Amino acid sequence: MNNCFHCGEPVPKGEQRWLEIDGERRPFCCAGCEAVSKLILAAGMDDFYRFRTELSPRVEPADPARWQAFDSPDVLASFARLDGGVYEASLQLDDIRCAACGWLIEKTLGERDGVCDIRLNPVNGRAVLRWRQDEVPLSSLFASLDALGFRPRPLDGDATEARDEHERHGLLRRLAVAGFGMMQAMMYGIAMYLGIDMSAEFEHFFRHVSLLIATPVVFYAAAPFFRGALRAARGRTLGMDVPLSIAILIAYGASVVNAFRGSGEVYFDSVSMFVFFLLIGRYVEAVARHRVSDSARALGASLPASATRIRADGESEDVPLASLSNDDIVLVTRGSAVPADGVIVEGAAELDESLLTGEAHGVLRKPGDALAAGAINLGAPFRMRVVRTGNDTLIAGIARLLDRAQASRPRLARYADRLARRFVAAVLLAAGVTALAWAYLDPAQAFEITLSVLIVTCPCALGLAVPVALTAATNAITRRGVLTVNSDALEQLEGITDVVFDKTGTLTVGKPSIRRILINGAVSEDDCLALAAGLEMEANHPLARAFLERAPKRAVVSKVEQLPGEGLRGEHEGMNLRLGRPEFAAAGEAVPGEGSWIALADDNRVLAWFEVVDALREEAAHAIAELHAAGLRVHLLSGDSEDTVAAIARRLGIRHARGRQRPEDKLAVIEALHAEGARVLMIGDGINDAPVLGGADVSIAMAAGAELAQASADFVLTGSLRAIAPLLEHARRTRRIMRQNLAWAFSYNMLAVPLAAAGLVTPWMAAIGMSASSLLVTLNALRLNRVRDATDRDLPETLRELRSS
Amino acid sequence: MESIFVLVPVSIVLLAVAIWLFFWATKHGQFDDLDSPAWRILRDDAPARRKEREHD
Repeated sequence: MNNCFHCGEPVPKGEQRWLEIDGERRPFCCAGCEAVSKLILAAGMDDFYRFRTELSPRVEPADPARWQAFDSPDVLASFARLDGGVYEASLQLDDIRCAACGWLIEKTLGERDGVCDIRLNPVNGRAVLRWRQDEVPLSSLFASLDALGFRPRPLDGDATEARDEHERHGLLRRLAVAGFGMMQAMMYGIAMYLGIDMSAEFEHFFRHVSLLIATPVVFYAAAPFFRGALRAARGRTLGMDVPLSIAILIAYGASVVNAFRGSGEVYFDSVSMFVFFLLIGRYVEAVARHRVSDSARALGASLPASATRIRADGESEDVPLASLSNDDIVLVTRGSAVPADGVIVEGAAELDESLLTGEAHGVLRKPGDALAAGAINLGAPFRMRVVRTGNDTLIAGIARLLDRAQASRPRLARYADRLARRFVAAVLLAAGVTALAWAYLDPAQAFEITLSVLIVTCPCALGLAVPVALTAATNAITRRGVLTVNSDALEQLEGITDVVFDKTGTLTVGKPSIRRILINGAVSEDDCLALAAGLEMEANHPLARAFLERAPKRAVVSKVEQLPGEGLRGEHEGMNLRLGRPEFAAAGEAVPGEGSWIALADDNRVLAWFEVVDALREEAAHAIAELHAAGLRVHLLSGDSEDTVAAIARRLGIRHARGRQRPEDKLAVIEALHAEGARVLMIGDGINDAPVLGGADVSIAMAAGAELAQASADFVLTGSLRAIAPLLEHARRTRRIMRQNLAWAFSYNMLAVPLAAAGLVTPWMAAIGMSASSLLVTLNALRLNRVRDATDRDLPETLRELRSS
Repeated sequence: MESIFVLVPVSIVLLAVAIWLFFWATKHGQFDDLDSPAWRILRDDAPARRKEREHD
């Protein structure tokens, strides 16, 4: 079969679009893809096809008029900043897959007159565009982006994102100050410790230079620790920051006194080193935290950028979403998303509400029925009256709920906090006892020994043991095609006994195809297909594509009428044809077998039955076998008919399968499993799974599903289903390494505290000991970065057989 | 050994310059995207632009 050179989708039969690229004739699936390729070639950018690492999205022909609303000054002011005639705006671009996409956008837009520059981050699809509105209107830039297949969406100044970036930049700077300061201070420190021919004059000079360098390290770089300690003090609790701040301040204070007095020890180098290592931990933690909040923001991106408003005089105009208000009448065209919550005024609608309900089939809505923003119009255009907009919509409410869920600290983190508080209290107590004891025994040494105790017991290794291991593990599993949304879930993965696939859609490719055709004899199979394809010609339904791909030719069918939720009706050579659900097209006839069937009928009888199946994901059987091999029970719970579910379960070897499950039923099943003592991993795809996914111990969402679900699940699967079994194995390894790290951190402290309290450890030794301990913990954790590839050798016997068959 | 009294202040000035440079780099987003610059080297300029450069 031919695949489109641009987007990789199969080229429908009868489509004749070819272009000469790299000396070969390449096929295209539609006018949009062909147009984009022509555009790319005409601009001399054929490199795009050589450098891209992923296929491009299929292109629907773009309509420049739809972006015109963005040229009005009021609208521009809502998201762009004007500076000396140049506008600057942040955009979110959909469907950026790889660096070559970024290259293409920077090239096409960057060379337009009036565009000052465009910078794009291909990792998150964010672009910053600077342009002169009087030379090139934003609408034409948006239209070009749309024509390339990257739909733009202006981002209004997102406060959280700016704050995250500010925090990251601040930490980087502090890290630099502490790092440079540490190197310098240690150079002077080593000279002083080695005591090479050090005259009093030199020593005096070195001490003051070290003081000069350590001062910004303490007051600028270490400021976050002081702030944290202050916060803890105000809240009357003990945080990790408390002993750190005390150690830093007394070491620095004593060093300053000693530097001016000209006698006694100075610890400027130890202090700088201490601050530097602490900041590394903070930075790693901040980066991981921000990545999580980034994925939560993906939610806001599910609404369209503009809407078509019908004015009182009957004319239509395109307006940005933000300027819609209640009681506006809006036209929702076929294929576009409902822009706000509202009520249908005119026309019947067939809606894909999968974003809200996860139900992939079209839902029928009549005038007077309520609609939720985010639903996609599958049928004819209809008009609606806006009832709620923006932040008041249902989808925004759900987004806020999920946001709040993410902001709350997970159980495990709270437990770790409690543990740390106790540990800190113990450290302070130990330091206090040491100080008192030595003040009694030998007051001259009391200060230095107390300082050593404070530094050596720095809970760094303890603090790093868990977060670094989690970050390394997260990186590794990301490379395997699993994005971590909630990093605490990785710990929860250990001890999972049951894997539940929520709905069949998680195991299928989501593209229906025709598996069997039964004809009644009157009309040949090819003719039946041709009639069906003729009827489906104008329909915008995944099923229509299945017919158009399968049919060898198309019959001419006139007066085609769509009956949302039922099927299609039309005329061919005097025959009245019906195609659709058995109740509609073949009322009163028995369906030929299990599975889902579609009937084609004329006035008198059924001409043909088509069995429609959603093909199983290629890797589904392997993935299930791997899970079985790992000793897990695999379940399938689905809202589909019992027959369909049973058929899929049989083909995949799933022993526990149930059909006709509503979300409440699914939750009940999970609760029953919990009652047996099982721990459940749930794999789902739609937003209506959110409560069901939440009921499981750990949840995974499929990236192809609605964006909302991605934010509510613990993990998002972007690659193959076969990443699941390795994910579980990886979780076990992570847990093991975290245990090793914690064991090391505790035994180090158990050993170091008595030594330090006995006065055998000087502060610089303490700082090195603490750093070495942290480094060891970090390196051990980084072992998790390595990805173990399952080779055939590692696979159990049953699996190898399955593979060779 | 007296050179130390000159060299150490010089090293501190260099340190200040290094830190200032780093601050400048973070402020201008040099560390925000570490992925796409690696690709940029592989891209050819458009032919029109390349000609302009040749005349330089």
